Amino acid sequence: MSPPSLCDRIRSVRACLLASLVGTSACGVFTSVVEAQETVSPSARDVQFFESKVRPLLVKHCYGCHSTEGDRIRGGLVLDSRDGWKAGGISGPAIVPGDPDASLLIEAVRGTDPGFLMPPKTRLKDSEIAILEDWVRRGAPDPRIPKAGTSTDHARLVLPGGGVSKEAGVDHWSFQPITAPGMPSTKNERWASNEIDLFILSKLESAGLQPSKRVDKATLIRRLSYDLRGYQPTPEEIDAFVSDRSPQAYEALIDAFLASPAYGERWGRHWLDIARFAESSGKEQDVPYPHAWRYRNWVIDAFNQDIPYDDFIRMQIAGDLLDADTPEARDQHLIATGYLAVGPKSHRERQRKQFVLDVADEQLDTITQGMLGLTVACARCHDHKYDPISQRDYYQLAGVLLSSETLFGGAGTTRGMQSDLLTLSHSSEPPSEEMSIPVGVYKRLETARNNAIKEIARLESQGSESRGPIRQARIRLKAVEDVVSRFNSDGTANSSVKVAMGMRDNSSPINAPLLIRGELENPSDVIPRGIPPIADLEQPMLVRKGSGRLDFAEWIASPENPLTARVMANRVWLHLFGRGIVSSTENFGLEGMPPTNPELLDYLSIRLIQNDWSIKRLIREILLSSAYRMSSDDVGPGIKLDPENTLYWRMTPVRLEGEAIRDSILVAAGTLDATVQRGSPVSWLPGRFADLSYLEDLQVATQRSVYLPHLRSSSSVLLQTFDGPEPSFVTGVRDQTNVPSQALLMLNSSWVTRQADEMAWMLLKLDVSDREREEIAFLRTLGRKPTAAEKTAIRRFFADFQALLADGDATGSFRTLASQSQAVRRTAKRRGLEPMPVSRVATPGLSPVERSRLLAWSSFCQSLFSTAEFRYLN
Amino acid sequence: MSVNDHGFCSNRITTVSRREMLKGVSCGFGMLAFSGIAQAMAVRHSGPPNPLAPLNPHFAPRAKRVIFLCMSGGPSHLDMFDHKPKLVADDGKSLSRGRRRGSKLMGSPFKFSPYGESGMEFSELVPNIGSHADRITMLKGMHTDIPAHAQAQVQMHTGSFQFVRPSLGAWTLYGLGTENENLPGFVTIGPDRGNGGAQKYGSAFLPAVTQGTPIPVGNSDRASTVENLKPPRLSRTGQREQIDFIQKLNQDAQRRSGDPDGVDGVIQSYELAFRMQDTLPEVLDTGNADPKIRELYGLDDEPTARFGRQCLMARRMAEAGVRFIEVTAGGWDHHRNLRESMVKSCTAIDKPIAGLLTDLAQRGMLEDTLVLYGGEFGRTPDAQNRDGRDHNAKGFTMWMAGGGVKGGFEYGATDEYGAEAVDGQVHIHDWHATILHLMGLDHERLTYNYAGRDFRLTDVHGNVVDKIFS
Repeated sequence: MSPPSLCDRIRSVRACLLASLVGTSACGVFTSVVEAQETVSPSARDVQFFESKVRPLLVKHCYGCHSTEGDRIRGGLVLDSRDGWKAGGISGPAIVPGDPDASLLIEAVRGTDPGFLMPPKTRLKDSEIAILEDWVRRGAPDPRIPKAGTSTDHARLVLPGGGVSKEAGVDHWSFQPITAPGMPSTKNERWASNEIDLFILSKLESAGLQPSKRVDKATLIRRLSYDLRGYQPTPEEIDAFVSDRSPQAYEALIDAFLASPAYGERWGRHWLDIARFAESSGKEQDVPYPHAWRYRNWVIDAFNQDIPYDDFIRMQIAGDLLDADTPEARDQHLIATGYLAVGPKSHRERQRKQFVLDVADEQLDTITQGMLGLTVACARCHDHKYDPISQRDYYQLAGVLLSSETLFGGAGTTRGMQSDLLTLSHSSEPPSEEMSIPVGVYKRLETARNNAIKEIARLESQGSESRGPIRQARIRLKAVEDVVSRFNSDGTANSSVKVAMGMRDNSSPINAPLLIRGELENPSDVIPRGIPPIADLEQPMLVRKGSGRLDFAEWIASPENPLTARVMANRVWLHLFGRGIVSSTENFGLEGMPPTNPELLDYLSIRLIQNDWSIKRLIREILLSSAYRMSSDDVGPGIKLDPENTLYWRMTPVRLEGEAIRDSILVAAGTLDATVQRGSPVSWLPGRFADLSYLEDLQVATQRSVYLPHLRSSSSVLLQTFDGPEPSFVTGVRDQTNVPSQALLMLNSSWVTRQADEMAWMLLKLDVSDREREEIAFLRTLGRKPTAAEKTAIRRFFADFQALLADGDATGSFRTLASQSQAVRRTAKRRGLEPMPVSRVATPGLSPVERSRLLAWSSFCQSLFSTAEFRYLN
Repeated sequence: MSVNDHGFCSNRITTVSRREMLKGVSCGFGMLAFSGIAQAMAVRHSGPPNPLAPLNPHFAPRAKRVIFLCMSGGPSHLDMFDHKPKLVADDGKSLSRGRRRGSKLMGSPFKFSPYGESGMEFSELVPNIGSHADRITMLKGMHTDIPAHAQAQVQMHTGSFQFVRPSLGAWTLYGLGTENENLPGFVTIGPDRGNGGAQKYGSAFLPAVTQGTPIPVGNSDRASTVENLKPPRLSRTGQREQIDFIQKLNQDAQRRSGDPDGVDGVIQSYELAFRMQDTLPEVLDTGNADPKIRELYGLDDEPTARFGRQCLMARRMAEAGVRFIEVTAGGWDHHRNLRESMVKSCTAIDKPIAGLLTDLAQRGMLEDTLVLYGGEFGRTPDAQNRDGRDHNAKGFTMWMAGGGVKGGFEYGATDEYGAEAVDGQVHIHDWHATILHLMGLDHERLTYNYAGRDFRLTDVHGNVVDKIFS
């Protein structure tokens, strides 16, 4: 069986009677030759003939299956434009002007071959066939649509289903220049703290709503701490803030949190959702990407350093093409382009061309959804159904990405698609800062390497019979060597091999042909690469140099681009208010949701640009508003008038992300390892022979969630269970579900139980009364002391639980517990990992009373982790 | 002992009288599963909107639930269901054309005989499945796009091998919801890690609640479980004590909260989780099946025990109202040693599948349970490695039973050697469209708007094969 080409196309081949004619196309997919467009204007007589005789026939008999306006296009052939039949379907051009006998369309309507009759089943009348023959003989004059490439090209895009034409589309709000809105006047003159409040208040007043009361200080510091650092404030921080009566206290707190490294870990993670970040290829074969973490850390550092957002964009799309003052800066620019390389990929794809097209498509999708709020990838196979983006526009941009090479690695990990990596300068980071490999894991890999070498020698001595096994062993060897080479024998990172995923320009840039229906085998006109006139009325921008990636980046990062600042300002707002001003954060197109407060969005966008694209300054300004300091528990008239809180009459309560929940547990238990992790356990994986289960063991780790290994096929169960993003997609808004699997995890997972044990252990070590312990536990988890009713409930819980323990009714066997703990230790050891200490409740030498007490307090702490309040931000 | 296996613990909650419920409760611990279901129903009326509450189909469904017997690796249709006498006659002849020119034809070494009133032919490898001939629609003209495991598996599950898309089960759950809140609505029992892995039961851009719950299959009756289903050290009573405390705090918080519905969701999730801890082990523990059931599924014979357990779990899930149940058997990639390996692979599934069909029929469930059998592709008529067959995406066999399809019916055919589907071709998209149709869903109307456009399982393809409907 010959392997069919890996493309959607085949399904349409199946649907098409012309399937047998599929052959290789004369036109290569990648060509640097820009074909000249021929221009033939039909005479007035020809037009009259076409309009009166030919067009009605085509509309009546052919458009059903062969029109861009139809539900489906059969065989990739469209007959509603001249370009359509010239390009033809999967069988090639449908008409040879002047030669009916050589034209597939004529052959099909004649139906000389019954398997090749069009329209299927109903043969046209002889007179009708004669008209078509006559038309082709005349040279097939066709006035429909001028040649592609001029601005009038867009005029034909009267889209199905009430869609808009390209010209109508440009009236859409998000494509208009950002303009400074006038300051609204409000009746209430006391509430507003800054301009943001005026925009909010004015909308509220016209809707007959009042802003909610100011939130109490303890809740405010909790809100601020989660929003800026991703975990709760400590009891000491709460106390200091609540008792500080100075007017500058709030501002000082904002600045302190913004300056904390935790800020970058929190906001970097928000961007990693947009960058669909993960450390492997996903798809059918999950190839690990051992160097992806460099991009992750770059993002975190970029937020901490407050790299201006326009530079942030330039570096990620075209960092390799930017000037750099130092080798270190150069390295950072290169690592930033990892943005385009860390996406999902089908390494098993057999056709290189298809693979490259899919990668470019994935990149274009990520860039345009993430940075522009547009779904440009919809136009890969046809003009966008709703937005003024033509298929031609798509291929202009695709040409830019196809003129660049994506460096994702894969060597030593797959026999499928592989590439080089970017080499970094050796001095960029002191090697000591990079994560070591556990010595035990290193030793295991060394053993595996030696075994593979021996195995190969043994097999080779046996002669030709064992070619297959030898090949297998060599692959295994290469995979192991790849890992071993990255580390020194003491486990520290080998500083002489520093590589990163990312981009570089091809030596000779290319222009891509438009692919009909997005099908590789169906190339049409070659489209000069460039930046199409999306979202503004400017003429298409052509590439000045190289691939055009830098031009593309500059175009996005321009303050003139009406989408870029709006999309990012909206994202910042979303993360602080729980709801975007535009709720469809990745779609600012015609099918997206309109902004609920357009003036506010434009104001924020302008402030972002004015403040030299500083994200921190934008956040700071928003935090200083009265709006941010409203309470969230208001259930007054707003609940009826604006239940979705689209006008921001109160703060929206949100369920925290898995990262925040997990990090908060570590903070409460006092076990958080706050060090920046410069590396990833994924880089220890010996290629696809990796036993991924030992990553699960690593979940006992106490580092921040953003640093957990994140393969597309396997990542932290906790993060996944709490609606972690699917890393194949740009995710602007996380789901916020409350489902039983989360409850099971909080109640039963060994990781949560262990953290509860640690917290209980820590509490019991304190020289305080049990009442004080309870208060401390509440403060560390919920940021407040227990209420009177809760104190009663706590009393009852301890009394009942202790009674059950005394009766032996509360627990299973301690022996089981101890042996489980030992089993986990053994597993860790076998994998060369540092075994964790045994579970606290299994600590040898604990008296039964001490153990019962520890168990009761652990269950108490775990209960606090499990509450709704712990996972909600008010 | 499991009450489930005595047949009165069913998902048809509305038809169960209170008397039966009480009778069930008196059966002891095993009946907790059932009482859980009843509680779930009670909760339904007061709780927050359940994102997976049952939804109305587009039109009257022929099947209410699906059991998909997924054969991973590409089983040979030529040695099980697609009898090719001409291939046997030409055994050893070389192919004169095509990429495999020179390769020698290999007739099936296994005997075929007619079964049932329909006289449908089955090979000697699957006599037990054969005994259900009159319940089966054989789809002999199946074809798919890619003869490579991973891509074909992913396409069989999601419709696309090129993009990350929601799986068939996720679409079904999205379209219909599920009937039992105490169990996941979509489970996959013993999925293989490779060949697309979690993508095969993923939800992609559909709501996360629609994704499948994987249930790794253990090596013994009691060894199958899902993650975090058992308290690591608290007894049931101890954990209830803990949950009561959590719920007290939650109820107080709910009164203060600006999002009482959200907090209510958390409260419900703990109650459901607590019940699920009882329900799910009951379903997964095959050690409690009675001897007749054990014999029916072959639980006590080593070759059939594993898949037998999977099939019994599937039946219990179906009975309890789980919407989509997938059961995977691997090891079908017979490039060599076909004569020997096929016996082993077929033995492992033949009796369990037949047992499942018998059991479903005896419980009156077969009429509204759609049983699907199939692998990602078939195999070549010519030999590989002398005693093996290569991948073949151009023609293979799948079958359906129950749930509104004809019995003893063959649809489609491959050519005289079984190389290519030549009649009644059914592409994977058509298969998807047909399955959704049997579930009461129009594949063209079951859409989800993501990233600016409406997506469907069948993309722009899919024809419902209505000729197989009973």
